[in-house]
Amino acid sequence: MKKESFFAKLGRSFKSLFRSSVTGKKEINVLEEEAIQSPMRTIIKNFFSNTLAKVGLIGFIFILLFSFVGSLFFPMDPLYTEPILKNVQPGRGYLDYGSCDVKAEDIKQLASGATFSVVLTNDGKLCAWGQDQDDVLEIPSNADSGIKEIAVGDRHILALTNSGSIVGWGRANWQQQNLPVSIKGMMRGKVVHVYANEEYSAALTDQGYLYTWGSVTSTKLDIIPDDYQGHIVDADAAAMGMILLMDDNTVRAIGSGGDFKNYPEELENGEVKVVSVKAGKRNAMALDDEGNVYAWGGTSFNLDTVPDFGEKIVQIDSGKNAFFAVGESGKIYGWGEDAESILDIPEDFEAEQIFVDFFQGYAISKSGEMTAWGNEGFILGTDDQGRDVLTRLMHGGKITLLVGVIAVLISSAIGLTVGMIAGFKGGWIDNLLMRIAEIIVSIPFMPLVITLSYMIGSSMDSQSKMYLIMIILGLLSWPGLARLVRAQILIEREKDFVLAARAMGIKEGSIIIRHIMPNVISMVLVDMTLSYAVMMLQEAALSFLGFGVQPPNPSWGNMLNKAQQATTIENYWWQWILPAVCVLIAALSINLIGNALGDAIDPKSNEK
Amino acid sequence: MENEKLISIHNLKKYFPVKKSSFLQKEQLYVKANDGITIDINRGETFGLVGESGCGKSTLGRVLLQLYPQTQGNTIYYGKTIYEYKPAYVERILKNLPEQKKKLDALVEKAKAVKEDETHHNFKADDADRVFHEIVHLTGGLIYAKDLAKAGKLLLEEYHAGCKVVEEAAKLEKDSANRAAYEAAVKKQEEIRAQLDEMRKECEQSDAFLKAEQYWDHGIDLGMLKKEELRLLRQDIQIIFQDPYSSLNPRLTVGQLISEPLVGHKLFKKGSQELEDYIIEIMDKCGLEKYFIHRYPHQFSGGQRQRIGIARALALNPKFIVCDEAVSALDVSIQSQILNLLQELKEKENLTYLFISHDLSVVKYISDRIGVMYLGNMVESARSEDIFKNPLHPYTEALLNAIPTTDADNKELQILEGDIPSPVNPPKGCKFHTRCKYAMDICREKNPEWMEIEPQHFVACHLRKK
Amino acid sequence: MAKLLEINNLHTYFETKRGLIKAVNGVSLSIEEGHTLGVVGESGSGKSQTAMSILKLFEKNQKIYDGEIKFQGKVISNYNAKEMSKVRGNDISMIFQEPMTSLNPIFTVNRQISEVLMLHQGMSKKEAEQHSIEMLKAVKIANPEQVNKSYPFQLSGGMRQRVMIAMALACKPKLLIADEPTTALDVTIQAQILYLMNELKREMGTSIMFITHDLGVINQMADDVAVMYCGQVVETAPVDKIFQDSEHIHPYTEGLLTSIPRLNTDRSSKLEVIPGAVPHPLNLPKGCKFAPRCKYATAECRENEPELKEVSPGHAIRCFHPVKRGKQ
Repeated sequence: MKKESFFAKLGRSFKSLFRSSVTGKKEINVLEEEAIQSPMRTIIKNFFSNTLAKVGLIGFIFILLFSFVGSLFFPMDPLYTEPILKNVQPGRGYLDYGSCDVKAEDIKQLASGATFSVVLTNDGKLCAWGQDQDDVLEIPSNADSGIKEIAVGDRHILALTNSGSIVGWGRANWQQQNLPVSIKGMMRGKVVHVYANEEYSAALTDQGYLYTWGSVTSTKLDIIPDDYQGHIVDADAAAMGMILLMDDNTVRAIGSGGDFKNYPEELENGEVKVVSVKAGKRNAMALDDEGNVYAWGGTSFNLDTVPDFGEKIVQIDSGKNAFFAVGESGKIYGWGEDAESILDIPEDFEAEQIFVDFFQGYAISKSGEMTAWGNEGFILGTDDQGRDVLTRLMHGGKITLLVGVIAVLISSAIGLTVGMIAGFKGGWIDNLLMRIAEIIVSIPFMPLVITLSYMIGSSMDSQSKMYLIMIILGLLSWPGLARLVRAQILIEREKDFVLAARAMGIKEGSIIIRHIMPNVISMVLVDMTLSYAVMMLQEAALSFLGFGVQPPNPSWGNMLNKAQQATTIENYWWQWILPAVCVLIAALSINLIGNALGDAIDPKSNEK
Repeated sequence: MENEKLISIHNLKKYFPVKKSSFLQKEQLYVKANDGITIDINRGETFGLVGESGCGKSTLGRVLLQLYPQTQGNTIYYGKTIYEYKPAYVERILKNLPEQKKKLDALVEKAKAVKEDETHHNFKADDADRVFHEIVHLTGGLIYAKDLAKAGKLLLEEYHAGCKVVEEAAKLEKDSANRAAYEAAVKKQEEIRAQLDEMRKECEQSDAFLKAEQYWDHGIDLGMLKKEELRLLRQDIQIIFQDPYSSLNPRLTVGQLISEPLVGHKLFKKGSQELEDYIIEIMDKCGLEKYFIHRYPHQFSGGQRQRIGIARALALNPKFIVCDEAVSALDVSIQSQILNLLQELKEKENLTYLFISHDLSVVKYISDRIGVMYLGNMVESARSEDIFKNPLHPYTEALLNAIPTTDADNKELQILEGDIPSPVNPPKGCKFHTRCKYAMDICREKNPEWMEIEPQHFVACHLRKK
Repeated sequence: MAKLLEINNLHTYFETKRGLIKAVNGVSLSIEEGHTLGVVGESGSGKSQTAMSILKLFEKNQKIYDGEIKFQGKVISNYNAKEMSKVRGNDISMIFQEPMTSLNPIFTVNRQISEVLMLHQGMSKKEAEQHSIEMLKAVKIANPEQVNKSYPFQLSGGMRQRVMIAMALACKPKLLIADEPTTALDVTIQAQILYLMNELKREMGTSIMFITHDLGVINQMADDVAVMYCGQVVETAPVDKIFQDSEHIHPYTEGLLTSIPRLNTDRSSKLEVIPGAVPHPLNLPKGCKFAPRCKYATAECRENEPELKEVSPGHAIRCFHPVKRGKQ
């Protein structure tokens, strides 16, 4: 017989779905074909002639690829969390500046929030793109034009109009988008600069006074030493602190970011002339008039170590935990934490100016070209810790599927052995084993696992806890298979062909291997497939209750765990529907495969 | 026809224990599938076994082959002598002859003691009878010798000498130069036999002695064989099953099915060319095309499957085949094909059949002798013409009259009233008395004896008692 | 005599994955009032499917493709399910081979017989029970009251078949279809049941369609015989003509008659044999379906399909060359 390609077969079976089976001559060929088919091939053919089996198989392959191949391409650090990105809706296009139709040379300022960016053009107009959280992309009418400067926090935007008033919109949980009347009333001078970061905003007046509002008390940003006031010429806002540039070209810092205040002496005593300051979460940097960069603060991600550029730096900027510098040559340098691809800086780009905030970076070249890098968005959104749901689904799937496999292997091994011993030995051994099996099935499964996981699990790391779950699942779920195997052996043993083999004088051992076991094994295979789905669901159920795979390691079950909170169910559908869908697809396809396998093995299915 | 025995069954019983219905039930109940059957099957004949379902005819075939262990009784196989086969039990018994006799005497005592209060299931008498036969086939009348130890020793020597004769005969077949050694072995055996004859003369020439003496026949007691011995002997005794659908493993090809026992008995090497040639030869004999060899059973019709079953049984070159309802599941037009094949093979291969069927006309056509069974008992056995011409047992008569025929004289069927009683709790006395129109008082009380009324015509019926 | 049931050119097919199985392929039959029609054939000859077609007891993939079935002059083959259920068990009833599986194991005999009576005859529970006992008496059950209260598993095989017959005859149907009713029974029990059926037929005037593979049973029971092969009727005749005195006979019928050993068959002679096997229903031969196995077959037989032709009154044969009786 000629071999057909997989696609030809697929195509043919697809066609056959629509063709009525009543055709005369062709069917005889089917008979002839069957005449040279071994039972195994018939089983395979039966299996593939079942539409549901194909659907199941495709579904399962999809899930496998998704979990195992996908997770290779999307590595995950289980410990990584990013509060400002939490609960982000599914969506992409965070870097999609093209949607704004702004020419590079028209850009006056470009600033990004957690999931969006805003551009201010030279003629004072605004345009925003990215993920619309808290209506941040809906620019109010009074900010339509005549804007002088903008400041973007994680989820809010401030615009300083030509007339000196501040318009703000976006997230308002601390009224950070709205200049409080109290400040407005006592403000000394006219606002010349605005700043914003995580849930707070700041304004700097032409008299050198800085005012902060929003969530500022916990970060002590409301405390601005009096001797600073009146001398501030510029500043940069970071999550927990602000770095200030004073009128004597020195640097000061405010806020709770203690590391901020450890700035190098030469910046404080005026030895060098600082022209620009930038701040990250725990670190700050400064640029002096000679093109030298200074960085200080926390030691994580080597942010306090300035790389050797070998050229003069003309501009600096900062993301959340990453610093950037533009050299005279236009080369962009970046260091720090490579979260959300923020360090994937385009190479060979001669930048004139860069705009980096949080996890988005933009650069304009001297020739007026524009580029962007960093976080493009989250297809499936993020969870309550700001972690990418897609990545976690892949890695979670890997764990869930693996837990199932190992548990099934353990339970099948025990079930098969016990079933075979009981079936072949019989007598008191059979009795004993079956009683043990009965005891095991009468153990209430969930309470036991939960108790065990409390007792043993507390002293374990989450990895070994995962193995513990697999082993417990495996150890407790064999009785079904054992009974099936035993019953099947008893049935097969009484079959005429076994008696016939015995009458032929064939050795017991080879009767067992050649005549009894093949029929048992096929049943076992079907049962294994079906119980695999059950195991997976068990893992999910356990993890859902919080006793299975422990966070931060993801599994579909513990991702579903979030669905225990009403707010998640109401507001963040992507965090629980998606893992639920994954579990559903996997369990459904495995069940389809198992059932189709069972049908295919059943000799009666050949008849119709 | 030479009346040389091939199989001899004596007082064969097969009781299947019935699961107790409650813990309180004291007495273990049994399905008495075979309840004391005694028949001889001669070399080269077809012995037909008829009866209704549940009469134990299939069980008899299987117990005879030791597929089910026999509950009581002896099955002696004469296709090979003990000298040829050397089963382990021979030495065991002969070496410990005095102890064996003591054991037998004890059993006989016990049996005597019990006889008064006839309990429902009393195997004691059967035990004694069985052990007696186990020994007596090896010793003959010498079981009554005064010096049992000496008799045992002498018999053992005779046995070894006999084995030697067989060995030398085999060598002689290969190389005629060995004639001297062979003759020496034969002479030695004769000498020992002469000594044994001396011993016999010393014994008291009682009835018991003469009866026991008949049994000294070197046959193999199948019930005494070890598992492995029995497995190897299966080469000689084969079975063809009723259902060709269920008796062939659906996962093996025809070639594999036929080769499996051949390889299992180490007659051929697995995968060798000779094996394949032999399989094809056998298949050809059974009317199967050569190219079927790689096909699977499900690709065949019932008749062809039955041919596969026959080919497989035949491949081992057996001497005896049990045909267990071998044609009952087949269509009419196929049935005759298989019957003809069986007849043909029997003549060619010099086979002996035990042909089990519920279809009297088929049994009559194929059998030399017929046994009729009812509820675990043999009620009549005779040459096949005799049984039809002159049925002696009322059940046989009723059975013959109940068969609808295609004959022109469309006689009305005779009705045998009533149902077959349960084999768990069969009626007392003659088991047929509940349905027998000639039933007398004695029938309800006493089990009739197995009597030879005419030569070769046995019956168990009080009516025929002279 | 009036024709009770007439089947004209009936085609009942199964639609399967591998093709159309023509289980009944152009069957024409008729049963006269008060007569027994014996339908005989090997497995796969379509005899049971013909019976199922009459009552439309179809599997999901089974359908009447052509032909009509007339019962008492009315065409019942196009009845819908509701109309059909009025006919089933009332005008036409059926008994099956396996009396164990066709009785519901969890209901008493009384309940099963009464159910039919209450449904079709509108009897009250009491009346039905009374009638049920009467029916059991009619089928010669010695202790009808006791049997009436028993569950099927408490009865022996012969007893169960009697109960089945009682149930089938409870509504005094015009036609009783018996599909291998005695095949699973022992000879002595079979004789009892056959005797009983003949007696009931005589008493109640019920027509019987008796399906069996056993020619002996046909000889015992039938007035007329239809021999089936591969979904077709190959020969119909009064019973005597088949078994003895017709001039001609279909080669297949001849083969069937000669291939079974009879009690008077000579042991030394070989049995006559119909060579080969019944063809696969998906792979039927061209021309006469029996031609590949027929020793008289000619080129004509292999090419063209013969029609069922009357050779003498009441005796029709589907063969180009019917065998002369003297030949055998």
